[in-house]
Amino acid sequence: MNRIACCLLACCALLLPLHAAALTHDPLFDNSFESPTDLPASDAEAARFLTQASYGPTPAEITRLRAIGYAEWLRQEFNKPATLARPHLEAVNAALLSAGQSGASQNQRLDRWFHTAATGSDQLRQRLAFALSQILVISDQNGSISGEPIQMSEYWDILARNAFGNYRELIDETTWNPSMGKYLSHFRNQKASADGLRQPDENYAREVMQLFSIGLIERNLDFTPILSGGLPIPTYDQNVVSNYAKVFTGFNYNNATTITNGTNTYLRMTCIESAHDATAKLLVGGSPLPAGQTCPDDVADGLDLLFAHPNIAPFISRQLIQRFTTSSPSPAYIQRVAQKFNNNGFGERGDLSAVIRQILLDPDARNAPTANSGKPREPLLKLTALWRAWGAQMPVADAYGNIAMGMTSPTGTYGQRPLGADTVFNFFEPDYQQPGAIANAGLFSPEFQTLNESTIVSTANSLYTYGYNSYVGMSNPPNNRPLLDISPLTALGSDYAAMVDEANRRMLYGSMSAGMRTALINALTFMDGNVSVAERARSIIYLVAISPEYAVQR
Amino acid sequence: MSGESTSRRNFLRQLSCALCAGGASTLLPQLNLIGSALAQTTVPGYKALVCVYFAGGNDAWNLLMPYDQARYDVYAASRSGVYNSSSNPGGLAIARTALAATQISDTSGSYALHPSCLDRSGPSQPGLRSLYNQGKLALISNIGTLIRPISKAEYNSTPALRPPQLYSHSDQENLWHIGRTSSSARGWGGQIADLVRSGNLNQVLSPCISIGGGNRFEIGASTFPYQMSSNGVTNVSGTGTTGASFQRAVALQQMLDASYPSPYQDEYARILGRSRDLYSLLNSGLASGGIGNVNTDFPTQNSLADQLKMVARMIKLSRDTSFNIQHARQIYYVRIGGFDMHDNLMSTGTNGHANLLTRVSQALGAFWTALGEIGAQNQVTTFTMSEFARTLSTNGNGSDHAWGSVNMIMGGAVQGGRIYGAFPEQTLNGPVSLSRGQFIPSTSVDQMAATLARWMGVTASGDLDTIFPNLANFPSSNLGFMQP
Repeated sequence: MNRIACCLLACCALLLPLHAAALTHDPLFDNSFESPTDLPASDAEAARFLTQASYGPTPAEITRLRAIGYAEWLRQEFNKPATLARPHLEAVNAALLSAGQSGASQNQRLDRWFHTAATGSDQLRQRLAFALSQILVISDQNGSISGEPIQMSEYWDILARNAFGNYRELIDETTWNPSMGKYLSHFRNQKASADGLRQPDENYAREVMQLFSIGLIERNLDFTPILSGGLPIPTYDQNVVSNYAKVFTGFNYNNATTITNGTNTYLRMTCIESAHDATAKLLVGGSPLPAGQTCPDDVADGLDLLFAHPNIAPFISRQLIQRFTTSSPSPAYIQRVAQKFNNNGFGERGDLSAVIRQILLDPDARNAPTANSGKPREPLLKLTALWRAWGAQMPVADAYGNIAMGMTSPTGTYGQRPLGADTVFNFFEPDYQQPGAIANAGLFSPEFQTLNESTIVSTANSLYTYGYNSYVGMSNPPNNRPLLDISPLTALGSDYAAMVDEANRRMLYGSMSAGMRTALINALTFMDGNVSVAERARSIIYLVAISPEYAVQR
Repeated sequence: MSGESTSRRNFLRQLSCALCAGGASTLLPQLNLIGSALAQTTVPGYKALVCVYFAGGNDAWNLLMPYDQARYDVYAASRSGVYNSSSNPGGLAIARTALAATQISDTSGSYALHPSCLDRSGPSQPGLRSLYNQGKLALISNIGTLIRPISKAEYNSTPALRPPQLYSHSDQENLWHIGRTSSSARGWGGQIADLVRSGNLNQVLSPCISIGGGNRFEIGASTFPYQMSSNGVTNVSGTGTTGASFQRAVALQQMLDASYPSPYQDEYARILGRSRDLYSLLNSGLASGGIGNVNTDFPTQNSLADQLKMVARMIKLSRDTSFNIQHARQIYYVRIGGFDMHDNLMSTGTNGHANLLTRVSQALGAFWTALGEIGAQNQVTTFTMSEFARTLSTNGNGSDHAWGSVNMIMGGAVQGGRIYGAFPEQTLNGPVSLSRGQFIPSTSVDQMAATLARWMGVTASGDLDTIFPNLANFPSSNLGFMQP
């Protein structure tokens, strides 16, 4: 194999991923057992951490985290296997077909996603898969994969399985994945025609650089732009795109023998050498690939060059920080995380477990929030946290093994849909700055890009449906969505202050302001005597769910 | 917040003018009864722009094609011949015989629009070709982002003269929204609105309204777009005027009125507050049987049509002097996606270019008809934008990112039935094209936008140069497609 020397780039460590390292190396627990010294100081601190690190805190998980501490919690999360989506969807599909029904659709894929988010044991792994799905985007809004929910579920499982692995491995698996191949059209992409009139499709070549690895301009480790004469320096130009387009030629289905045949499966694509451009290529940073290499070697070398680029650490780290803890991380915070990307402490570069550990344990994440820290919650995470805070009772599986979660078209209400963004630029962009006070303060606010007068109400009204109007004990409960357990509140009877405090504990990790607390207690106090305790409880849950304080995690 | 107090001062100032502008019925409800007995009156001098954004990069050189044999042959050769699903699946050209029904002409020669531009039947409404022939639709050929005019030699020798980040979706879209090639938080639509909004009565409702989602185009210094959906406006559930509902409404309002240490929480409160403030006003107008209803039939299964129908309804509502909006200047934004056809460009299915253009043509034709219903065809100018056109040459079943494109301008005030700009020679690697048939634009975004800004009332050269700092680089700031 012909490996390209990476001496061009300053901080190139090992290129080979070391899968096992991520799971077993833990500086606190090597060869010994110690009582954890990193225990959350309170329920509030534990719940705040879980808000950042999971789909929402539960009372049981708060207790568990307090007992074992952050490092052990992380170690256990790293060792939890992925809750898989594709085998489940295959089983549901088979059951539907054998009953003479149409097979599984994207609806079942969404049901599975919501169910795993609400109840899965591998919470951090699934959260990281969700974050990665917003960088390495594919979407069922694209006609080439909208009819392939099983294949798309496999793509999700790839993200989940590799969430704590190595990023180089991850972009290898996503590059060779047929759903990604169809979404960014390198599937069955052919080398140029002899007359030159047909050229290779440039879609994947461009987006793998612009969005999946290095971004548009040269960056320092802390993400600040490197300037030349006061101007940013592009990382690549159109020629590099055209040359990478030649790299990504020849892909087809796993069992294909020509560029046109093969069976539609989710299995890793193969490459048809006769359709692959084997000419010499000039890639990022001016690095040459020699002529005559096989397709797998060209692709591996091409991805190696992107992985070796110094940009990849800050570019990926910053976006992951924005999905977990804060929209506007300080350069120092980004740099500390990017350093872990470049070296996990054991000489491995690209270890995502080290990256997420730093993101969550960094002082900027664990210290008390400042005025500008934190982030708007992603809209779907408002819903999952609501279910988990109130011990939602899941619906029973139907005759085909599918558990309906009631939410198959969240785009219209939440502006988000897992593996369903409108474009490869995700639901919102990392550099979005809401005009006004936020932009004036130099802050970033990706989630505000889809938060407007219309969506803010449609989300609130969906939280009304799934919160206020979906609870255990209601008359004629729907059987196709979770039901909140409001008994912790109704048990408090007419102690309105205690009700509000319990909602504060479960949904706001104790951070509710005095003003909000007063407003909510007053609402309960001034309701007529004939308003039931259940309605009071649901009112508090709903008002918290649509409040500005719940909207932003800090 | 300074913007808010300025708008309140404007609102109060406009209230006193409302009496002289004929808006008395807003202050004296019983005048409404008199108003309904007379012909409906509308805000005098009303003008609106409607921006239709094609997201993904429209393959515009299959929207407008040369029809004379010589130039057609060049077009077809560059596109690897006429598409045929079995014999030439990689071809991207449309057969000349298929273009006969959508022929159009211009002083520069004979052309054709995409076959999807025919009239809609059931009900009969004009398509883009009919609108062009009626003089209501103009085309701008080879328009794109530029810092200044650039030759092919300069393109190759001096990359610094090219607009930044060519061929990148997000960056090129941003340049179309901001009308300049240096970084800006403001769009040219919002900046126009800043200058022309003072004649609007209701300053709580922004002059910039988006049915197509968030965008930079409509953001100005003191203007921020109001966003609504094509379904109208919705109230926050569970909040009402009686009982427990009322108590919840009170608590919610208290939380929205509070100020927060976090600017993120503050902004959320502000957005939800604004939504609730405008809900009652707009809902009364958009309710069934209300003032904001149009009878024109719009095509279904067509998101652009849904959005444009709401635009028509809001225009009607906004011009009505018996309703408490009474805007003299508005800018709307709608958006249709799906244009990024690296694959399946020539597919006849729902996701192919032909079907997409059919939806565009039918939506615009219905919108034109609705504007006729509400008497606003001369007052509303609709224009299209897209981040770039696509390569003439094929990638095997689609096209990739390119540059100079074709835009459309529609309206009663437009000098239509003409092609503005220069139609490029369509050889690959030709005098104005790069290796894959990406065209170096002959006309810039700035020039189109300045022409529209001028029509909206921004005529002072100082104002135009502020909004479009590169404008002086181009030979003309008025492309002439609006009637004088």
